[in-house]
Amino acid sequence: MNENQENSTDHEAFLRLYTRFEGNLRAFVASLLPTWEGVDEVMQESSVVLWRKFSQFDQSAESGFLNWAFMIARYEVLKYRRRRATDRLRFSDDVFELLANTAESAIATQDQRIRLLRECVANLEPAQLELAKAVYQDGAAIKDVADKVGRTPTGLYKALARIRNRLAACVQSKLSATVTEGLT
Amino acid sequence: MSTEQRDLELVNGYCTGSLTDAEFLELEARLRESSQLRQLLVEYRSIETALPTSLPFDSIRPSEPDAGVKDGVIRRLRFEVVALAAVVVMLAGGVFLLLPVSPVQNPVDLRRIAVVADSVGAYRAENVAIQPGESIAAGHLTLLRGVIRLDFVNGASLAVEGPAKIDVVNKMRVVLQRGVVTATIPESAIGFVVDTDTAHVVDLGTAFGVSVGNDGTTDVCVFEGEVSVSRNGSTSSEPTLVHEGQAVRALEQSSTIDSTHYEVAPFENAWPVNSGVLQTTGSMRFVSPGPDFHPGNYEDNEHIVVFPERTGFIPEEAIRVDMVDPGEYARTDYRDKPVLPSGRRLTSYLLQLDAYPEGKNPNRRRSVRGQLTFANPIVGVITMNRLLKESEAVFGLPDVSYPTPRTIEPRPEGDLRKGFDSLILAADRRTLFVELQENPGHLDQIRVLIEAEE
Repeated sequence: MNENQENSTDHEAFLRLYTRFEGNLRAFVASLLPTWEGVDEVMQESSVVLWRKFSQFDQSAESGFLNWAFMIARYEVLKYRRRRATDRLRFSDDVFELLANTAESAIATQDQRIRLLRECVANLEPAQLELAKAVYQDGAAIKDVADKVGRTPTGLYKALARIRNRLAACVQSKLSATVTEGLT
Repeated sequence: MSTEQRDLELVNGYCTGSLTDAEFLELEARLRESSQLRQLLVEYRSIETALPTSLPFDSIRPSEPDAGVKDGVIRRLRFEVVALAAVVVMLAGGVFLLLPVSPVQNPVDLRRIAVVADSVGAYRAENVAIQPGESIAAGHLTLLRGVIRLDFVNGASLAVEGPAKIDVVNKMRVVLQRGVVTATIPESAIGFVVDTDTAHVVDLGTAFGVSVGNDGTTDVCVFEGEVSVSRNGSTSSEPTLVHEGQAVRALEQSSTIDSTHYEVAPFENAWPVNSGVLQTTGSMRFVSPGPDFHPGNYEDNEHIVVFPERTGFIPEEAIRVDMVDPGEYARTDYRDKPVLPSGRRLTSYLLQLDAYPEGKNPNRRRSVRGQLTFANPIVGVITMNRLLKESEAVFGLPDVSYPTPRTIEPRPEGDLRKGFDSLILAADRRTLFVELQENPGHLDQIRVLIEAEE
């Protein structure tokens, strides 16, 4: 195999793994940073580092990719935190460590939770679905949505909180039911 | 309110970024003591991350047509196609763009970060021409040669001169590995960062240039406003504030940011593109980037110097000009001059040949010619002294004393003698050919009005 073929195989292997685990990695980073802008920046940096160091990753143990990626992303979040040391919403180092550990261990049920989330979304009220799509799918700013629908931003924050609460409760309830079914 | 309800409030406030400082401290304290709350926060963020791909795309539309939201969806889908195409290119060509893109991501990732506003002889790796209008996503760009102007979604504008290697990280940050960039940063993008191996340059509302040489040396020149520069890779480096007219350097082998001579020559190809001028040839030259360079104090008697004036300005009054149509300028009466209606967004430039006496042969008559191509169409050209004065009141830079009188002497019809000035607007309406003859101590000026972007 020549060098180009090796590179191409590496690219494919990397893309396959990165694409598979990207959602988990993004959720991990999002647990540690308050803004999506920060999450995006760290994800970009992490993807670059992951690719640059991919030759050091033991591809025979694919299951280890996510732990390896968590380690790199955690370091990139730390670097981001250092660059943004004056940010208002910045957790103390001890809380950051606690959250990072929790986020890493959440991987055990994360894929299942995401599958259940798709089912739970179907239970949202039409107006809730509209709002969630505007904010999360279209990336619209709360203020813009508020202007469009004639509500206050505070009202929309509350509406979004109700959506999150409802989805989280639904996922948790379905997850508990699944576990119970497994036990019986 | 129960502790559980309060926890939910705090986590939701964290998700929307709406917590006050006190509430944030309260959340921190609760996170320290409650593993359950830590799990809750992680779960909520996980839900938020997964929602863009978990929500249906087409099940329900707004009760009334909603152009903004609909447009957002269309943009997003279009971007996904581009992103997928990028993956295909990566695999087929063995070229890895820095962002490995999965089919569906958070919409924030999927939006283009910048667009190629102008491209002047620019080629990326593998000799593929870069076209104006191309979307730029996060990733790496190798520019073999030429200059491109990238207009970021937040209003930042970056001209990149090849050969250059640059990583576009997001709308607020690029990493320059090699090459030259010049930047104009509006208020909406203050805080824009240009990183290099050795320097971390943070804009504080300004225009500046950054170059990275083959030896890794970073030079930063501030044309307007100020920037903060710190040493990348050194945790102890305090940021240095660099003001307009100042320059600093970061060497690979040094851990400090050092003052250096304000040398703008490396930026003189990229900077005009930042300013809407794609090309100057012959004796035409765009003014050097720097503070307080204006037609009244700039010394150059060998070139027709191009000065930017007001940008994207909407005059409230009609503007009388000398020419609007392609062709050669010929003298006409004041009352026959065409008039540009008010309310049109325009950008103004002043061309100047200042034949001040100098050197061994101070009485030498200057004869210069050159060509100038703008990014946008020329809508009016002003040469007559009276019209220059009138338009100065609208487009002239504040606090600048414009030298007078100015005279352009076009060739009268049928006159074959030498020594006249010539001004030709090309059919593309973007290019101006200028030939000027000037006696020592005299001054020629031409104001060019360009259609500005909305």
